[in-house]
Amino acid sequence: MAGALIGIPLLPLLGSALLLLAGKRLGERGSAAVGVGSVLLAALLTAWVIAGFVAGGEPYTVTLGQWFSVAGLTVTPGLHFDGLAAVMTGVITGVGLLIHWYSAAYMAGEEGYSRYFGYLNLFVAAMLVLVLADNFLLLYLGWEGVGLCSYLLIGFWYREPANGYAARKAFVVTRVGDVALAVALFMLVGQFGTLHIETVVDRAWQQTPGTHWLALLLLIGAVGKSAQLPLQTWLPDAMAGPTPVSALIHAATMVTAGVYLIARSHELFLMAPPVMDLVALVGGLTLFLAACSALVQTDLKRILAYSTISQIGYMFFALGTGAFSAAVFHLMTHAFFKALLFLAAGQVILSLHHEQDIRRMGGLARPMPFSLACFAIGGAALAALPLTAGFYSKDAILMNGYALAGGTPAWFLALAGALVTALYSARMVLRVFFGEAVTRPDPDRRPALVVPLAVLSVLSLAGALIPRPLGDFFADLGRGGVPETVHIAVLAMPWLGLAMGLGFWRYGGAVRDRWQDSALAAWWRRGWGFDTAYQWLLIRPFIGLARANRDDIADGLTAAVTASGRAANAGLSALQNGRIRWYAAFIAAGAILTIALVGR
Amino acid sequence: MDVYAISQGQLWSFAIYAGAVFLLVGAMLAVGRLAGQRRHEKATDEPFESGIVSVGDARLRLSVSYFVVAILFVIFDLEVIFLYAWAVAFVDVGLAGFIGALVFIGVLLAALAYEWRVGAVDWGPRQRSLHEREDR
Amino acid sequence: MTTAELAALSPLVATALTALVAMLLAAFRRNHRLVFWVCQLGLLAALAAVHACAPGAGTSVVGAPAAPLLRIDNFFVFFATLFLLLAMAVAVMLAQYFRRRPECRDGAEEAYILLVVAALGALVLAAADHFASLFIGVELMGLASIVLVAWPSGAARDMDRLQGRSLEAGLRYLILSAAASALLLFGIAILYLQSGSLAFAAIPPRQGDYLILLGTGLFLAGMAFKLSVVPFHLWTADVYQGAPTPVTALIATLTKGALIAVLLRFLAAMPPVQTQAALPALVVLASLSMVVGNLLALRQENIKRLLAYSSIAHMGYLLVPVMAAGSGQLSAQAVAFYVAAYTITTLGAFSVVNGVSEGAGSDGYQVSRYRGLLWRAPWLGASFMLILLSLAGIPLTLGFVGKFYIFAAGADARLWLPVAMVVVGSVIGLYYYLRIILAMAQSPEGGEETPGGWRERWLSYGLTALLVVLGIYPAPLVDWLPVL
Repeated sequence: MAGALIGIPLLPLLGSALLLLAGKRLGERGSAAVGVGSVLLAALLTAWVIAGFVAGGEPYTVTLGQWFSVAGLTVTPGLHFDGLAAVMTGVITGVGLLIHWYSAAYMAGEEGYSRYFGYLNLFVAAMLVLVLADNFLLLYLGWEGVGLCSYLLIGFWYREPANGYAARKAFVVTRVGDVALAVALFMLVGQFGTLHIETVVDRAWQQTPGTHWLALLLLIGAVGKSAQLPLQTWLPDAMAGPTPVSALIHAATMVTAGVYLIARSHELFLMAPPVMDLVALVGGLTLFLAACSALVQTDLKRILAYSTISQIGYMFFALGTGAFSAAVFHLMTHAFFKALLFLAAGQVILSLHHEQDIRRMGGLARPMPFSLACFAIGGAALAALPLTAGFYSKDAILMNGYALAGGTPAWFLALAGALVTALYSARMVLRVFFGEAVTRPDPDRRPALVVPLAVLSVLSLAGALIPRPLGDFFADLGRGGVPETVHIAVLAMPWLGLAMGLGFWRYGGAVRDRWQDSALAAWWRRGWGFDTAYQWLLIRPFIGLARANRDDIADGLTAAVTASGRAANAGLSALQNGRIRWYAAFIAAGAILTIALVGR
Repeated sequence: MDVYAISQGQLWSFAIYAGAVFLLVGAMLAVGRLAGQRRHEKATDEPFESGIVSVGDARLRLSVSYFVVAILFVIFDLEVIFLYAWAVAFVDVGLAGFIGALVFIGVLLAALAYEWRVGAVDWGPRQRSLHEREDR
Repeated sequence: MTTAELAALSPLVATALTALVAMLLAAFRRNHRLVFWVCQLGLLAALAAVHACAPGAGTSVVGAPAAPLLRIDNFFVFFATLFLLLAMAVAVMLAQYFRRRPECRDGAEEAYILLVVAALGALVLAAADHFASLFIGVELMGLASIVLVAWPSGAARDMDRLQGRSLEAGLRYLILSAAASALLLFGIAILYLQSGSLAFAAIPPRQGDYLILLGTGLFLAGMAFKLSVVPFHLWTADVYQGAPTPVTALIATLTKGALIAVLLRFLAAMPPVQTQAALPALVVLASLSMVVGNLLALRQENIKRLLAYSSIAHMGYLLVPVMAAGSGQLSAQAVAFYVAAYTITTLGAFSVVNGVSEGAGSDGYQVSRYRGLLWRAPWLGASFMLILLSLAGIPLTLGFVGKFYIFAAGADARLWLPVAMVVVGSVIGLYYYLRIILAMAQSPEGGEETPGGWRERWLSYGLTALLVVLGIYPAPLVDWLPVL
């Protein structure tokens, strides 16, 4: 079992090494075989390990050996497998496998095919390290590893400068969170003298004064990685990468790393109630603001990006209210239906020759019924209509959230968000597949594209039935009762949103147009102006400072040394005038100096 | 002057004397500069020697053989000085001294032979170096 | 005079005989190749004599036991070996120089003879323990090198600009060094007045004796001039520039090394009270040399002048362990090692300059002449680069180990100010050494042929190999360092 656990991250890592070092020789077929094969093996291994865990039921750790021992800090990283890790590895390898499979066809003929799979495999390996790490330092390694892969894959088509800027933005913005996480690690070492997650979490019960700060720093780290307020601005731009990348990294797995981090260290957060409230508030605000932005986007992938931000906001809300298992549940179902939506969107985009603007789509229901089915299932799950996986998880979030924390402002935001979510889901599906046809699609029905979509569709519908071996991983918090009215409201919201969507679609043409042209819609479309604000508050002052200091001010010191050296050189060279009497005078002066010094 | 007087630090008289010398010379130069008339005419910069205008250049080229002869003179003059010293102590230094003197004279002889062969003693207007003679 | 003493003196005798034989040979059969080989063989014989007749670990004293003129000990053995090898290398450089400049070949025989005479002077200095032998050594070496500096003007038939410069350099060197000799003699005379003996060790340990201090000061001033220490340095660059390159190499290495050796012996033999009194002057002279020498080299475009200023700075470095003379064996070892390192490196530098610049016209000595050398002549360029790095004291070269010794000796004697100045000087020095390397690494401007083949370059390669090998593995040299 121990070897198998190590093998899970190791296989994609080896695949990545092979692809990046010898990719050119493998060719497309070979690259796909290595890239998909390594993840397939990892997924099979994961299935076996999970089966073993479910049968045995005991968490266990595999120590990898001592990494280093410095100044009292000994780091002995290992891989830890428990219920949470089981859910995460299952999602990562399962969804990862489907997306790799899909990519093999989607990316066919692209330049840098093996490079793509090399990065993607590296990502899977890093993500697995992140979730399997039993040590914050190893977790941080995975954390930075996925950040690097995200950067590389957003900028995969690097010849387009905009992609490079988007990749840079994603990297720099998440860096803010990473710095906070690094500081949190330093604090952990200072407070607990160890980075071992279980030890830290066990000791967290002995409440120390720094716990609040620690939790806050971890939250900032999570917020950066998971694109939550106020560091959410990078995710919509990250859509510059290939669509399967968006599905895997920027929807299903990497962006949920923040959720995982908080879930993994939830005992620490429970010791800091104000931070918990902050988590819930961040989640509530993010989910609502992002949902509103998703409502007015015109780019299909940006709709999905804002939707992702919004759905992760739900997870944060759940975490903040203490409904940890609901958060992890939603993480899993979201991975299924959002991957489905992205991959289906990818198919649509591919069929329309890389057209992403929904205003140029419409009437695709007839030529692309399979895509419609995928979108309908994914959209229903996103809107949390009954009988879909999303229904159960979002219901759990809202009900548990109310039961644990009551009707806080965040809860009401989450409730309103459910309505907006249904509304934009309806808008998206209707806009793309119904109405007048604008362009003629060129449907692509390669089985490699279709099979993953079919599997994900099934998972989006029935994913809620998959047992989650969380056991008693999350401490059971006492819950209050939920009034019937609340339950009805929760159940009604998606339907209400759907009805509004259909109503606007069918009857509200004029209202719709005026709304789309309004200033408020424009503001929402720009993501509530966060980018502009950052532009003025941070980027411009910084660039101004950089300009002002273009000729490094500290260089002045060095320049002064150089200048004085030159001046001294000029002065001394002037003494070398070739006149013997002058030289003799110097000898005399030197003799006097010497005698004076000796006779001192 | 008593050496120890200086080394004991009694430098007063010497210092006063030196100061007086500088003062006197400085005063003479200063008075000349202040009291004398200053004019600049054609003849001002010309060398003045007993009212006679100087003839020719002071930078004469001396024949190289002059130096060679001078060096030869110094060599043999010094030789004599050393040999006098040896002659005075002839009995005391014994055989070792005798050998030493022989070596000394031998070296000088070698030097003389070299000078001769190179043409250093061929003085006169038709002096030729060895190479010129070989070239011929 | 005993047989043992005669045996101990045999290196000096062999060198003197070599000069005599070569002189007679030159008189009767002018053939510069023959004279070259006679001189080389003579120097080799002297080298063999140094080792065959070397008195084990003990010392052999020549002269009256109370005031020995010459002290033949392992200190002498070390330096004599170094100086004889050095003279042989310079003879090779001279041969290369004459091959390159046939117009200067007239009288080449005398150049070799004078070289041997200078080597004899250096040997005397390495053994000198007495002011008389010191002065003989200084003048023997000095007069021979003055004639060599003015060499091309004396021998060549047509006077070009360079020869005028040589003559001027020689005359300048003659006049100024006569003045310095006067200072030296005056100092010696005053010291004799107070001690009644010319032996170094005879100086009375009287504190606050003004005449002794005056004598020491004058003596040091004279030595400082010959070592070209600031502020007695003004002649250095002019003379280095004017002299033929092999002669420049000779006065940069042999003269300096021999004088440093005798200065060390003098300071070690003097009573500690007097050494202590001389310390402030040495500290100031050394510090000034390190800073001023390096600053002067900073923007120098003429490679020979640049190396001249660099040698001023190196003399400053060398004075640091010299002034530690009273405080232990590390001082003598550091001096010996640094002199060896400096000699090998500087000889290498001038042998490259000899190959690249000599006979290359009036701008041959400009740094620009070295532009692209690494591409035009990769081996020669690489070897010059290593030489310059050694001069700068970069690790894995001999120069680094030498500098390390200086730091060790300086720190051992708690001479913090000079040690700090060594650091400052080294930093400034790095700039101009790297400037030449930069020029060599630039792309060649084309058309400039680098003359010379293996025959012209083997000396440079050999010296470079030596400084790299000993820089990486200095143990053989270290084991051989003398104790005083």
